[in-house]
Amino acid sequence: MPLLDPTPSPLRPRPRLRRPPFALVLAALLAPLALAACNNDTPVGLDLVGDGGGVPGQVALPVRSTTAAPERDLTAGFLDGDTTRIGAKRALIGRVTDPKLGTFEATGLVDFFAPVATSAASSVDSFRADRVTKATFVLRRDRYATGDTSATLRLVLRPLLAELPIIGGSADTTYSLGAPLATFSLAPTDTSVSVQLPATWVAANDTTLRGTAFATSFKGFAIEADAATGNAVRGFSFSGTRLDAIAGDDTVRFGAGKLGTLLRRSGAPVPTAGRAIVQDGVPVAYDFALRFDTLGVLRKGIARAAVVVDLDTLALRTPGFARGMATVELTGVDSKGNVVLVGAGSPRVRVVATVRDGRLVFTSPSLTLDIQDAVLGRTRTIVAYRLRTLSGPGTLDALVLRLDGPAVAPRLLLTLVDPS
Amino acid sequence: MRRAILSRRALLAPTVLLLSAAAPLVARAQGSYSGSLYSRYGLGERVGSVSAQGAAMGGGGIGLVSLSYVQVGNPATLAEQILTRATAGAYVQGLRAEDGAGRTGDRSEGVLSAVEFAFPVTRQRVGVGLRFTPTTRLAYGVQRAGLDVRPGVPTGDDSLRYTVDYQGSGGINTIDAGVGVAIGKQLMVGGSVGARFGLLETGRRTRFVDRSGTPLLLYAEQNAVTTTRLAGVTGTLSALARFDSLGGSARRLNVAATLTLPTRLSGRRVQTLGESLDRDTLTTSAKGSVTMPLEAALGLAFYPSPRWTAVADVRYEPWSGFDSDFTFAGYGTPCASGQVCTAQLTSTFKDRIRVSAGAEYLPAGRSPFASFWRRTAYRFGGYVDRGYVSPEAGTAITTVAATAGLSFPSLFFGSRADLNAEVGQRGETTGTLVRDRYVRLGLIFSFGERWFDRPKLR
Repeated sequence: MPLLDPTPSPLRPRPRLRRPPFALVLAALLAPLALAACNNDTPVGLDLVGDGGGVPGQVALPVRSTTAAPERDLTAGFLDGDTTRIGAKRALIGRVTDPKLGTFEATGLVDFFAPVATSAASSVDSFRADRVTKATFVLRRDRYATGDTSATLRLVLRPLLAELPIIGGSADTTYSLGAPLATFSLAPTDTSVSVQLPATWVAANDTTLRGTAFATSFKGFAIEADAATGNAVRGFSFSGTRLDAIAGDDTVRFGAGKLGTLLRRSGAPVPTAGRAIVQDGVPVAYDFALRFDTLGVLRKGIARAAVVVDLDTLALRTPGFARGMATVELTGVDSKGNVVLVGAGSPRVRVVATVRDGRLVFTSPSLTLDIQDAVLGRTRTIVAYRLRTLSGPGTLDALVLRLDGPAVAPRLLLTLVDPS
Repeated sequence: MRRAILSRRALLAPTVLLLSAAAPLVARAQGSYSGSLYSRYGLGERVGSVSAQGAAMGGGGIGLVSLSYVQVGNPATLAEQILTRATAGAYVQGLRAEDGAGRTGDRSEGVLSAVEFAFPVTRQRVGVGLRFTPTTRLAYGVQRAGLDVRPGVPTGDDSLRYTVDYQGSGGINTIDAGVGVAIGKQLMVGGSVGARFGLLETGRRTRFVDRSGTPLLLYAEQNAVTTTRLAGVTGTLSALARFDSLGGSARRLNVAATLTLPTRLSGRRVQTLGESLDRDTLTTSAKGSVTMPLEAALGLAFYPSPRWTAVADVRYEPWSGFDSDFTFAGYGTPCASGQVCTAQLTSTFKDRIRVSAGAEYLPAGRSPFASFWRRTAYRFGGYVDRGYVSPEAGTAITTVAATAGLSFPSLFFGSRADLNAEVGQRGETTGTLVRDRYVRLGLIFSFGERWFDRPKLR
C-alpha cells in the first residue's frame, strides 16, 4: 500500500501540497546528536574480560658479558662534547696521588682568541701600532678540586709549541712544550691568579702579540704542576682565563679560546675481582653484551628497558681525600666498537645516569626502542652497550662497578607486556 | 514549478547541514569502542537491517511492501517498486552498563546503519536493489586500573601505576545485490547475492601513568592487537505472498519469508604490536575460515485499513552450530598456533531467536493533501532478542526493547525522513554479567524519484 500516490491524474486539478514545518522537523532530526555525550573510562564489565592479559610484568636479565674496552674518544684532553668535540670549559692542573686510583699529573693547556680592547680608551689598532711593554697571564680557577683540597699548588707556566686542536684530540696526542716562563702558586682561597710574563718573552713575542694572525701564530700556554706541588688537582675555567697585554696607553685582552688537559697516570690500581673502575680521563670503558633468548622475553612488548649497574660506593671512600663520583653515559656500539649513530650524527642510544641509591639506572625511550627491536628480532647494529664517563665536565671522578653476584651484577631490567 | 524547486531546496539545505554535522560522529563511530561489551563475543553483536519503516516497528517488518521504502533484506519486495530510490541512515546510541556491584559506565557512539539503492526494471513487476549494511559489530571498551607494587626496583618510585584498556572494533559488513519478481498479483519472489567482509580487531592497550594520571614518558604504551580479516559470499532467497480483501476492500495480509544461506568466510589472523603506522607483526599470518549460520525469518504484515499497519516477525539463527578455525571469545580453545584446538572445542554460543511486533498509524491514509502532521506516520513496536552469545554457561543474553518512530513526508512524492527511537535493555547483573540500558535515535533519509522513464506525449 503506497503512502502517496505517485501518479497524479491529469484530469483533476492538482491541489496544493501542505508545506512541512521545516523548523520543527529539523529540530526533531537534529535531536539525536544530543546523545553524543562523552564516554567515561570504566571497569564495568571487567569480569567479562577475565584474565585478558595486558598486565605488565618485570624481568631482570643478567648481562651476558662485561668487557673492558679502550675508549678512543676519551682523551687526556677532556675535550668537551661527544663525537664532535669542541673546546672544553674546564682544564685540570696539579698532581695528586690517589690511594685508590694511582697518581695523576694534570697539565692544563690554553690557547687564546684575537685581542679586544679592555676599555673605551684603548684600541686594538693603536695597540698594534705601538710596542708591547707588559703581558700578564690570568688564570681563573673553578670549583673543581680533588685530593687534598687545602693544599696550595705550585705551578709552572710554559709555552705551547704546537697548535692545540679544537676538535679531534685523542688519548695518544702529544704536545711540545717550551722552557718554563714563570712559576706561581694557586692557594685554595684564590679565585684567580695573575702571572706577569718575563720581559724577554714579551720582547720575543711582541710581533706575534700585535700581529693580525695572532690566532694561528700563537700556540698558547701549558700550566704544569711543579715537582714539589701539593697533593691536589684543581680545575681552571674557560671563562675568565686570559692574557692581558699593554702597548703604549692601550691595554688589550686575549680571551681563552681553547682549553685542554694532558693527563699522565702512574701506579694504576690492581683490579679487584668482581669490580671494575671507570674514571673520567682514563680511557677505559666497559661493554655490556645482552642476551634476550632467556626467560621468555622474545616477542614481548617492552614498556621500559633499564640497564642497572650496582656500585661499590665504599671502595673509594678515603678519609681526608676529596673525590667525586663520575657521571657516566651508556651508548650503543657496533661490532667494531664504534658508537652507532642515526640522523645527523647523534647516537642511536645515549643515556646519561647519575648515582642514586648506590646504583646507576640507565633508561630512556631510545634504549627501550632498541631493546624492543632486539626482542622482536629486528635487524640492528648495536651489539653491546658501552658505559663510559661523560667527557664533558673534565674531572678525575670515578666509580667502582660491581660485576659479581647475580643480584648485583649489571643487568637489564625489563618492564614488559605479553601481547599474546 | 518555481515553488517546487524552492521546496526541494528548502529540504536539501537542512539535509546537507544535518549530514555535515553528523558525518564526523558517524566516521568516528566506525572505530568505536563505545558499544555493548557483549559485542566482544563471537563475531560481534548481530546487527539487523530492515527498512526505516520496519525499524520503528520492532525492527522487523520483512512483510512490509511500500512504495516509499526499499527493503533489500527481503529481495522479493523489490518487485513492487515504482521509483528509483536511495536510502541512507545512521543512528546515535547512549548506553549505560551496570554490573552486579552497582557500578555504571556510560558510552555513546554514532553508527552508519545502512545505505541502499534500488530501482524498478519493470514497474511493480521486476526490481533490483543494492545494499551496504553492517552484519556484526565489535565496539567495546573496558578499562582495568592497576598498581604494581615493586619494592626495591629502581624506578624512582616503589610502585608502578598502569591502566589496561581492552578494546574491540570492526565487524562484518555485507554488500547485497538483489532482484525481486512479481508472479501475478499475489506472489513475489526474490533473491540476492552478497559479499560479506570485514575486519575484527581486538586488543589491549597498556598505559603507564603517575599518581595524577599523566603518562610516564619513560614507559612506552603497549598496544597489542589481534586482527582477523574475513571475506565470503552469501545468498538470500525470499518470497512474499499477498492476500487481499480479507473481509474488507482495503484489508489485506502479507506473509513473507527469507532464508540466508550459511556463509563461509575465509581469512587471516595477524597479531601485531604497536601503533597503526608502526606495527610489528608478532605472528605469521594464520589462514582459516569461519562459517556463519543460516538466517531464517518469517514475517506478517497486516493492513486492516489505509491508516493502520501491523507487523510481526520471528528470526532464527542456529549459532550453536557455528564453526571456525579461529578462536573467538566464547568459542574455541586456542592451540599453540593460535587456531582452534578441535580436540578441545568449546563453544558457548546458542541459537539466536528474535521476535518482534509493531504497528504504524498514518492519519491521512491515502490522502496526499492532508496536513503535514496527518501525513506523518506514527510507529511503535518492540522486540525480544535472545542473542547467540552466552558468557556464563546457562545464561542467555537477551535484549528487550521498545521502538517508536516518526516518518515525515516531504513536498515531493516518494521521499521521506524517518526519525526512529529505541529504548532497550540487554543482559543482567548476575555473576560476571552486566546489564546494558540504551537509548538509540536513528535518522534515515529515503529519496525516491522517477528515473529511466521515457517521456510520453499525452
